[in-house]
Amino acid sequence: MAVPKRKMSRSNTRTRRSQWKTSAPHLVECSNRACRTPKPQHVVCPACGQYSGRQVNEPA
Amino acid sequence: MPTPTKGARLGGSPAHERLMLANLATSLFQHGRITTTQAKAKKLRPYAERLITKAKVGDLHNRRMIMKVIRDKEVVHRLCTEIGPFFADRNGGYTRIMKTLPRKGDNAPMAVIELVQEKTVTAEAEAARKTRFAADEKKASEETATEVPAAETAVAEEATSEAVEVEESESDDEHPYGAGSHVALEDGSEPEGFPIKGNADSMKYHVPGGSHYDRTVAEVWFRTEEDAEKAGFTKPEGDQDAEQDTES
Repeated sequence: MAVPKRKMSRSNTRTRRSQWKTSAPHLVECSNRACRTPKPQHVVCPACGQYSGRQVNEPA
Repeated sequence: MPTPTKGARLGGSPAHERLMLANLATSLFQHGRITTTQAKAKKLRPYAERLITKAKVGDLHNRRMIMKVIRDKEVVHRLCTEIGPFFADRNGGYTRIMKTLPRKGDNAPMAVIELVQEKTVTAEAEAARKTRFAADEKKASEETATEVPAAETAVAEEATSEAVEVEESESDDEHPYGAGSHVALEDGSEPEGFPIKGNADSMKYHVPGGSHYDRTVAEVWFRTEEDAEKAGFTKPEGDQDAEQDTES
């Protein structure tokens, strides 16, 4: 079985992990004029429960 | 060789997938709307629509084909007697998927899948825009003849209740929002001297030349913008923005 020849240094470990990044989700305003809450695109508004003028969910 | 189904299998084995889809379809026809994961909703859509197509034919053979999938006889009955005939005028597109926020716990993307409530696509679009297609105008005018009296009374009632709050009014059946207003004529044309359209559902008014003016079906007409605002109608947002831009 293949095994690592050398211990991975802390520096190398941390350099690798420094590339683990998060990105901010892309948010748009809800199209409901009364709501206008930022929400992910193409998703039923979590605040007012509407999507393209339709009431889908109960508002939270 | 039969073409393999697109995408990954739900659940792992073909049998598991068949059972899951059957259960999902049963729930969908039972409740009309279900919340599930996006992957399942996308798999369910063609599956459920094929069943509805069978239900539209509704003869014994097709009923037996449905019975192979849906084991609940009550649901099969509902599918063949209510859902199938309801979609008689619609050629496919019986369901609608709307995405919702990911699930708490495993962060799975979720969706709501529902049976479409509108009879036809044009009816849906017209309801959304509150206008009618030109091709349907002739048929529509016959309908409005029956619809308008009901709408008028509704508007009149609204007006009377509002008028009591605001002032002793000059409003009657002809002028539901005071002297500066006029009810819509049966043929939908402009009453003499009342150029501004009012939309009683959205409580907005549209001036001639405005972006929505041609598309709006007016329930009530106003003589001037002031009359419209006095009656509680507002200017549409798009126009307001334009105004603010010029001011600032």
